[in-house]
Amino acid sequence: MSSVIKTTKLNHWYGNVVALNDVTVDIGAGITGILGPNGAGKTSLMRMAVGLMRPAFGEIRVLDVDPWNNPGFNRRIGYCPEHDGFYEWLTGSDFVRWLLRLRGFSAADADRLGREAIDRVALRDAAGRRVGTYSRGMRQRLKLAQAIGHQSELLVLDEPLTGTDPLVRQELIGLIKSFAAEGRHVIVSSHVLHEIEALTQNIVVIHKGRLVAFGDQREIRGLIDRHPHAVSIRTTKSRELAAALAKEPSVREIEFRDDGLLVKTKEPDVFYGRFSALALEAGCDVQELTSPDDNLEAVFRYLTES
Amino acid sequence: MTALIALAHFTLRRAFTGKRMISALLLLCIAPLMSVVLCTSGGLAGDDVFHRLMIFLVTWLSAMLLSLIYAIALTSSEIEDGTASFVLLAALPKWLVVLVQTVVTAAGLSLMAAGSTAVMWGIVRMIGREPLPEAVLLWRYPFVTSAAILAYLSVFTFWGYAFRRGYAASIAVAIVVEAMIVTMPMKFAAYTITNNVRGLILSLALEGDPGPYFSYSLGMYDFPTYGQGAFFLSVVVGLSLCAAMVTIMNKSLVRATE
Amino acid sequence: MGLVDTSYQPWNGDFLGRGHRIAALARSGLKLAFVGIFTRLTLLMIYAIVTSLIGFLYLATSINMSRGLSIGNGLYSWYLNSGPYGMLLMLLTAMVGSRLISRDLKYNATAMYFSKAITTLDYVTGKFSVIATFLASATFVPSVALWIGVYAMGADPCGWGERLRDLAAIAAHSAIIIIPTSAIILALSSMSRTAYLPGVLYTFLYLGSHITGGILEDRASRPWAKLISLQNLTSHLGNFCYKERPGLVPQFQIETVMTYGWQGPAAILAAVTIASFAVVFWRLRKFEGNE
Repeated sequence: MSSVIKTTKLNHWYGNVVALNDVTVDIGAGITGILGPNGAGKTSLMRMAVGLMRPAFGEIRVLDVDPWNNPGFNRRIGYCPEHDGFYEWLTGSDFVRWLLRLRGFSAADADRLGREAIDRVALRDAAGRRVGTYSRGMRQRLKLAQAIGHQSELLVLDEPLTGTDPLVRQELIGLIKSFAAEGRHVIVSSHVLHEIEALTQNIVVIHKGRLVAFGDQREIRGLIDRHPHAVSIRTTKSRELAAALAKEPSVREIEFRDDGLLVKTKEPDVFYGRFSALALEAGCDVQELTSPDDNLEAVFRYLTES
Repeated sequence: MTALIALAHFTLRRAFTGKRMISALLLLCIAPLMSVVLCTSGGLAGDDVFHRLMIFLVTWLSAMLLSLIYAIALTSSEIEDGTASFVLLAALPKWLVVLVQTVVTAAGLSLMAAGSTAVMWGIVRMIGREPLPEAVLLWRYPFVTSAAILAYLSVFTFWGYAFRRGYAASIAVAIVVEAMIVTMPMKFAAYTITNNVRGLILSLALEGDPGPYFSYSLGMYDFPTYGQGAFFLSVVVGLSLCAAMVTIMNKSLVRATE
Repeated sequence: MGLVDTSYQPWNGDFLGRGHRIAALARSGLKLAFVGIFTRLTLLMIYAIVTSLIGFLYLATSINMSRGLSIGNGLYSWYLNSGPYGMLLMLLTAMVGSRLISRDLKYNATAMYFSKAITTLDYVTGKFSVIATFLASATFVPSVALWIGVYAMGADPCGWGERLRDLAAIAAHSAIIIIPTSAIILALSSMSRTAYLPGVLYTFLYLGSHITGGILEDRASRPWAKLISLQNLTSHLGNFCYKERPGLVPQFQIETVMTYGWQGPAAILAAVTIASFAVVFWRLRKFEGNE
């Protein structure tokens, strides 16, 4: 199977608000991060992917099937919703067990799988308590537990790390990576960009309902022409180095800083290729060479700023 | 099959716990309590008390409002709380989810109403004046009550799925129709669930004799017979359930967020 | 020259009084109360009834010009006591009142309210103002419109003293309907986090009390049977507000609802109102102050 999720001209609106606008994307295997500001359309896309919403126009196929009105398909996906909705009077283990039974597992299998899922998300101590007594982090973990319990092929996780403390967050990131290592496909959305970065390089960026970019994060960065790459150089001989770099065609801008230079270039590959020679010619010591915008946050910012 | 049983079991468990259950008990306990008051206040025969409370409280007001509470719980409450997504992702067709939830809830409510009827019958038999209600009413009235509950529940459930925004309006219209128009001398009153339920009562429980209970004027038409009442209610239940199933198969029910 | 402190400065201006805080609560609640097409349609129906009555008066006075029509003041109590009007008011109360406190409980907004300088009394007063004002728009305002219509159509030739007395009676009758109704729905709303349950229970209370009272009265012939019905209590007490001035139209006379005086029904309504407020305060007690 080449595509996990394939959409063709996907459109949806709520009254006068356009949630998704002509989204055509092909999401492959592994972990894929869906990024976008609030109201971008990430949750709408995910709900369509799991068959909870029907697109107003266009097509979506998940694991090569139409997810809408497809009860057999529901066994192949695990969905962790963004919103916090539970049957508060159930215990955590009852909740996971009941959902497993709804997916067709026998009572014995539901018990066993439920226990395993609860253990995996480190919720065993609280599993016997009512969900209404859970903290925010516990509720997130419970949502994940019900999503992974039936060992589905595809996991669709909508903001799974929201409301969790840093320790729990690290645990959950490790957990998500282990799902992918087991051969499952994972679609995950988050506002916490460095955590998406820690999970995957494959991203889909949605902004105001439109698909803005998809693919490898670094390749996307390379394509953002209007924002030259920034390179920060720490050196004691800023003026000499600046003089040498100024003659270089690939350099667009040089800015002096207290401890060095900030160089902007539209051809980072060419620049890096020539830099060593230029620094040697200028007789400069280079203490540090970094790229402040070679990260997801910069990519996201550049793509979504209007 | 496993999923079906799990859904039925869970529907029962969810429906009959918490404040909803307390409200249901409250609505159903009023009739037995009133029977005590009416029997002890004197002047009323036991079967008169029983018939009046069954006709005007249990099979009408209590059945309608109980069905309303549970229909809202099954539809808009689930959607608003965000738990609808868990149920809709079951390994069952969505239409089957609606059918099972509605039928199981109606069955549970009917059992509760039958219990309330039995308690009231027992009270009236113990402390009421002659003539007393017969034992055969112990199954006839619950049968009619269950028909009323199924009819109201089907209609309210369909509206809950179909008219998310106008749900309150549609419920209010239903209450106005079933509470006010039902006693008005107009032909439309024959096409209310209440009057058709009363048609069943007239045949099954009152042996065809309306007595003082249906003294409100129905000048434009005859009261529905058993056959007419049963047919009308069957059509209402069938159409409403089918419409609810079609709605859920074609409509996105989750809350709009982004 | 000196250093200017640009750090956080606490407010040292004037604060408005408690009444303004309560008014702010009431204003925000009232905005929500009038939202919803059904609420507006029902209000429209209530005003349509009044408009129809005024239209009827116009026709009646046109026909009776030579003899002169005297409608008396029974029309006002007839309007406020009528069954269909009561039903519409019940629906409005159930729809608007049921979510007043239950929504705040459901979304933990009470914590937000009580973290400000708002006491439980302020909160309850604000919520009561919302439902009372809303119900006033469905009782007092259309009745005043009717009163103006009667005067404008010349349907009730009487002095201004009597006219103003009728206006005061309308205000008192409306208050008799509004105050216990508002208290009951607030109490029910405070008992549940689910918005629809209080509304359904109120409907049951209203209709159920009327039905059981009717059964008791019809079959047991007990005069106290009418005291069970909320509708009967408010109608009976409301009638006492008017100094009866009979008219020529027999349908618009002040009808005797029950044989009791005003003391018993007033005591019952007062007790229900006080008990309802007690329930509200009891339910909200844990949200104010330290937990």
